[in-house]
Amino acid sequence: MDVRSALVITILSILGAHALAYLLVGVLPDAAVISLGLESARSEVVAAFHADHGIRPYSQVIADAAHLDLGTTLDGIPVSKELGHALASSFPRLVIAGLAIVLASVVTAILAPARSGALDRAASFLAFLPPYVMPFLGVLVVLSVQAAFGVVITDGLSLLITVTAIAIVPGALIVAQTASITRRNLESDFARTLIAVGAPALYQRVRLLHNVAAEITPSLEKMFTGMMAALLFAEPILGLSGFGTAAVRAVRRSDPDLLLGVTLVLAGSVAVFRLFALVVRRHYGLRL
Amino acid sequence: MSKVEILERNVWVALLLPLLAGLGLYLAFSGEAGMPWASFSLRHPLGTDEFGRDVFATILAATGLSLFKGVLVTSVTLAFSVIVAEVVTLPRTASFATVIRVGASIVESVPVVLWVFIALIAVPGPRLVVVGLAFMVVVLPIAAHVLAGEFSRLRQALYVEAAYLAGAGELRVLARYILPNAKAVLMPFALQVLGAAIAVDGAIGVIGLGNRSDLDLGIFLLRGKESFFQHPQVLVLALLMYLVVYGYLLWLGSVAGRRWPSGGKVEPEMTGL
Repeated sequence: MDVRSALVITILSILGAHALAYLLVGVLPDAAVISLGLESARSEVVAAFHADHGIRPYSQVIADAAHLDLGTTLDGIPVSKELGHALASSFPRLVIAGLAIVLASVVTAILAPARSGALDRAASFLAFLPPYVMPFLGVLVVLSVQAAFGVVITDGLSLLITVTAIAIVPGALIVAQTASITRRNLESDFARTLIAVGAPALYQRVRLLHNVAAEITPSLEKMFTGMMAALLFAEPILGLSGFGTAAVRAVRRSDPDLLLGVTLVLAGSVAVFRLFALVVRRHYGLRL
Repeated sequence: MSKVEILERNVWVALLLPLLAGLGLYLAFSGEAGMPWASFSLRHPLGTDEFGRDVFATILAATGLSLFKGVLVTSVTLAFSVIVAEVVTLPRTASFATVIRVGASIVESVPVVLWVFIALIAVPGPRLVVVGLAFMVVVLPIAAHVLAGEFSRLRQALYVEAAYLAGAGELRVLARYILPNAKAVLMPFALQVLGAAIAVDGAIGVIGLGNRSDLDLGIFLLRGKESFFQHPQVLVLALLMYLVVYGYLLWLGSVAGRRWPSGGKVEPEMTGL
């Protein structure tokens, strides 16, 4: 697929996901009942609520979004501000998780055994688990250590647990694919030639990193989607503020504008990552 | 008959056995509700929960129920995916194939679980029906896209061409030639969809959208976390059940890979949430 077609599909994906979310949000149960509680029995209170929080026509939603106005949450906070703060909290965790996955992939490419074995089975198993299992395992470990030794959880330890919970499932996928790609590349003529001319095995592996990077880029989109899915659960389960917690709050409170904002951010970021992966792949060449 | 052949012939029984075991244990140990949070005893090996139900039996029943719901949703999803994939691979349906591809791009932009959450809070109705339908609608474009690729490849086989020349209709070609030869892709993909279906069902309980008394593994994870210091067995057993279920599915996938070697192995894939 060429970049121009991919760009068109990217824009269609973002708009399509946003429109589909709007369609679903349009049939949400009346948020007034959830937010106002007993006050929702008074018609004038409900009317005032709808005046402030009613669902806007889709044309207005798009026009407002073009000016970065994503509406207001049920608490009256601008969605763009709410999501901005949430993303600011989540961004460092995502970056560290992403770097950890890249590092794990590089280490795997250099050290992966020539035959499939325990590493592949373990990685396949971890990649298959639901994204919320790891945060709960983290909770189990932390609470057990606290109960047994009375250890205080520091900010650094909390960050480590959160990053691990976010990175482990998509990271296991990338590690498993890296190991598989490395094994295949080791059978290639290029790799055999390197050994034949006397290159050390480590040099061979490092030179093959280029091919591994080229072949793994299509999985970057899945890695990013996996990280975002893990974020949706890791932050609420571990009691941290961030994008995941904001998304879960939007779902639990049936907050239409916040739900639309979350969908737009998710669809936009995944689509951009997909485009980035395509551009990187087109500019890489396999060393045959 | 080898163990693999026995499993292949009885794979649906193998998948449903945990449900039967879990429900059986639940019926055996539930009876009258006991004291809430009773301690370990012969009658209640892992004690009781806040509703007086045996912890071991209820979590086992929840595991079996999750597996059963997953199998049901997966079967329906794949049935519709096969129909859509078949239509897409027919001649003169190139535009429909493009629609499916664009649809797959749209739904893949957002984690499947978020689509299901939005559908669950937006659409009234029984949870199994709403979640099942939402899951099917979201996974359908992706599944159809994957299956269409395999069906297109198989349509080019000589024996399929020969079948058309012999006067076989589309349905006969699909049933006799394409589907049986697509098992190498279909079975592992079905297991991945099953894993995703079980994960989505649990996710609803994890974020607190279900009822606390539901027989749902996700709810048990949430309740287990809340009561960990006093009753750690709930969280530990619920996590163990997840590890067992997914290990079991992965093992089934490896069996399928040995049975259908050409791509039948479950490739490293996330549950696609």
